[in-house]
Amino acid sequence: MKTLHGYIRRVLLSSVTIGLVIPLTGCWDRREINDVAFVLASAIDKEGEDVKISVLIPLPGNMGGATGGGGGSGGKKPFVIKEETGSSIREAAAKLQRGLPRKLFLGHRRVLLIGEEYAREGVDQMIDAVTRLPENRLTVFVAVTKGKAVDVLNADTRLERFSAEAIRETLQSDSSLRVSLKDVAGQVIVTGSDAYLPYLQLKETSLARQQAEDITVSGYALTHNGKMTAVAQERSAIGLRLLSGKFKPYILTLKGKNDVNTTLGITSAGVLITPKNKNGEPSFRIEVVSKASIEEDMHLQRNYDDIEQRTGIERQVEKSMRKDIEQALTLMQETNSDVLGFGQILNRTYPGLWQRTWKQNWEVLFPRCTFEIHVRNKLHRIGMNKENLAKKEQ
Amino acid sequence: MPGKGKREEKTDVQSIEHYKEVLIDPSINENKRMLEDIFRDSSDAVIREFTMENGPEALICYVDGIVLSTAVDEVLKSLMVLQGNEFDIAEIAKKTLPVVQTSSAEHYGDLLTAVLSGDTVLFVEGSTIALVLGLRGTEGRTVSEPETETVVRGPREGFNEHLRTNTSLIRTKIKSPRLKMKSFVVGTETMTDVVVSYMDGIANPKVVQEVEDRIKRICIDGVLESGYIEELIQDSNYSPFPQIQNTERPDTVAAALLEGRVAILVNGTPFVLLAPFGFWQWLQASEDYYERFLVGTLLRVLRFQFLFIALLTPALYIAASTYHPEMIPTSLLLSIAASREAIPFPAVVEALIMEVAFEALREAGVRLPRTVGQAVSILGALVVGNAAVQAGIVSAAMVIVVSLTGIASFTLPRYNAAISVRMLRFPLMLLASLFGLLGIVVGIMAIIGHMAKLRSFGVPYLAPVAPVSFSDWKDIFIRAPWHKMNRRPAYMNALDQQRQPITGSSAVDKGDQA
Repeated sequence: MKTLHGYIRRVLLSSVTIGLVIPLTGCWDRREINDVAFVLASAIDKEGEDVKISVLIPLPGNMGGATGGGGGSGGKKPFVIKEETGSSIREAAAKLQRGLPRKLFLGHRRVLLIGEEYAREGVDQMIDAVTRLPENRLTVFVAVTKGKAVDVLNADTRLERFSAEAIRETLQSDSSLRVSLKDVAGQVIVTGSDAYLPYLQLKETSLARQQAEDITVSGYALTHNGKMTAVAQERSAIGLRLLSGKFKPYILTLKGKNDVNTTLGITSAGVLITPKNKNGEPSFRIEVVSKASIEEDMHLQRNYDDIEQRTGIERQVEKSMRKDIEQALTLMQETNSDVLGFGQILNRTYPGLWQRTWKQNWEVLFPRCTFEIHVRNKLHRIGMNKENLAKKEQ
Repeated sequence: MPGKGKREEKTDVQSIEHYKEVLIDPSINENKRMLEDIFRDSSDAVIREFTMENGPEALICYVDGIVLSTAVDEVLKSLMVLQGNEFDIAEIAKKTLPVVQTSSAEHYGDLLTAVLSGDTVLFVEGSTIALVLGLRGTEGRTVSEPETETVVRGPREGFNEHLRTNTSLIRTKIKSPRLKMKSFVVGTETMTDVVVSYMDGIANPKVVQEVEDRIKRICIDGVLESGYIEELIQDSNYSPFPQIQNTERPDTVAAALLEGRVAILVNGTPFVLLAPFGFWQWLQASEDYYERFLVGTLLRVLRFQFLFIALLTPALYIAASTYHPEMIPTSLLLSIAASREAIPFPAVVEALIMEVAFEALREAGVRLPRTVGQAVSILGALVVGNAAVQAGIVSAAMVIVVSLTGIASFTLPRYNAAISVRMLRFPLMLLASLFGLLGIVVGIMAIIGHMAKLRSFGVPYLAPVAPVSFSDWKDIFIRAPWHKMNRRPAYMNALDQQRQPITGSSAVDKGDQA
């Protein structure tokens, strides 16, 4: 009986001790879903001397769940955008939190938008503020917006419930290159590479009763030492995409005489960049091997059985792609934005030389580098029709 | 209550223990007085005095209702017309009586045990030995389909409350002289017959000996169900896990015996105990072995997953939603948030409400008459499923979690194991609500640690996974085809490991058994 008594005593004592110790750690981070404001996207803008941050928070009550007091998806938007300014990002966030009844939760942020004005001042402080908190995801998509980032965040896209969702889908689709925060951070900290970010732009649909604002990727923002320098758009954007090594299929239209155009789909492209050392001056040989398919051909007399005509198209594609790449490289060299990491390529091939001389002079060397561009293209698919179906019988 | 009154009278009516050493008197009158005293106020005891033709006085005693009265009549007839002068009791047993089972008793203890079990005793004037005639015959339930363990494919017969029927069901499955059935009597008042059955030469004698020793050690007034025996002989009383299997199916018992396990049959209950019992037997249903092995394997893999679902889903839901919302995919999280928006309770309270409601429904469904049970289930489905969600008391997500858990817990073939899983769900839910995933991990580690420590009749509870015995894994996570299962499970420590020759043919298998 006495031993049983002692046993119970011991169990009681140890459970009380454990029970007292646990609250002392003070890290009880339990919160109910109802008490959390999930941030799906946020935007950073310059506001005079200060920083303005805006967050997009979904409203579960307005999402038309099974419960809810109404669930009207027609009138009310299912989200709110809250904004606050501060002298630093965290200060602004703390001020924002003070005015909210729910705890801001950044673990589900999928998109981080940066206004162009802020980006030109430098994204490096932003990276510090975001990566210090464990709650933030490094896989968040980052993009620079034309004009104020909050305007893009507030876009009425109609197709998705949240603009954040629309932006995320756009950023990971074929029309953009995926750039996450960890990519940007990784490129910013290294000498011999700079970051590029998708450049978002609002496009308005003004059709009566169909008004909507769509978000498109119109190019790529180039940076140098964490500061935005230029935007690669149109041909240079395509050139950048080709060289980035993250190939996404795209459409290319060859202009012919009398508006007889041929549209091709570039379905695959491989890039090989070989650095060379010419008397201590670095230069690069760029080889692109690509495949194209015919998507639309206005040329009625085209005969694909004729090898001459096919190689003619191939050469035209090659010329066009070479032009794209040249434009991209020129823009990069003009702004001294080594967004493709040519410096790092040199580092990998000539590590000694890079460490000793090139690394220190890369700011001066990069704009002087010469590029030798070789493009090879193969027309590998002409579609379901050999000739234009509208062609009259002869 | 009546015992107290009797104690004040001249002669006490004692338990059988008291009569153990009392010798049988040569005088019929003395014996009759004794029996009448013992069976005072027992209207079902019959004490019949008669005279053998040309011979001495004799006395017959039995309890009405548990003997074959026609057979007793037959015995009386043959004794009453006994000719000659061979009235020695041994001679009567040898020559006169048309009874197969006879034995003799010298003490009142043996005699009373026999009479109360349904035997008939015969006293002859001048003899100090009474003859026990095995003329038992009770009304029993017919063999019917077991209700707790139904199968789609497999035998439809189940044990019933009659011990002899149950032993015969096993004997018809295993026609081998190696099948042993050792008889014990447990319970000082109920004198319940208990049979320990095993395969001689297959089952490990140490296990058999241990089972026998533990049964002999029992000293209780009554055993009404095999559950009494189970609790009195199990290894660890305070463990949440069952350490002895119970089954209503003769085929399950036969399979266990052939694996080298020991069966304990108790008179008066269709539930036969099987020992040793380990964790991995939770997932082995008899049907796994009757369907083709691919089907058996699929079902076993599913069951394994359902075990985790049944144990962990509510805890994981609580932990993920209150501590780790970043782990839930965004769109799913938004759906959960939308359904939880109007809920007044924290997730853990919500989960407890629903789980308790579900357990109440289940318990009501078991206890109520079948006709009412239907109404309860409809009511429960409406109240718990629909109205609670619409009233905004519980979220739709929680209803899904709880119903998934409930269904998963019903997929475990061992009812006693499923109950222990359901029981452990609650501490895990509390741990999850206090410490999140960390709490769940600590809880699971505590459970696994406890299981690793547990033993059932010398066999580790987690065997053959811990300690590892790879050759036995063919019947653990999967069910290997029969031609691959040549050997008996090694962790049962069977004497004879070989089940079939390595080449594997059913004809040879039959020869091995004979």
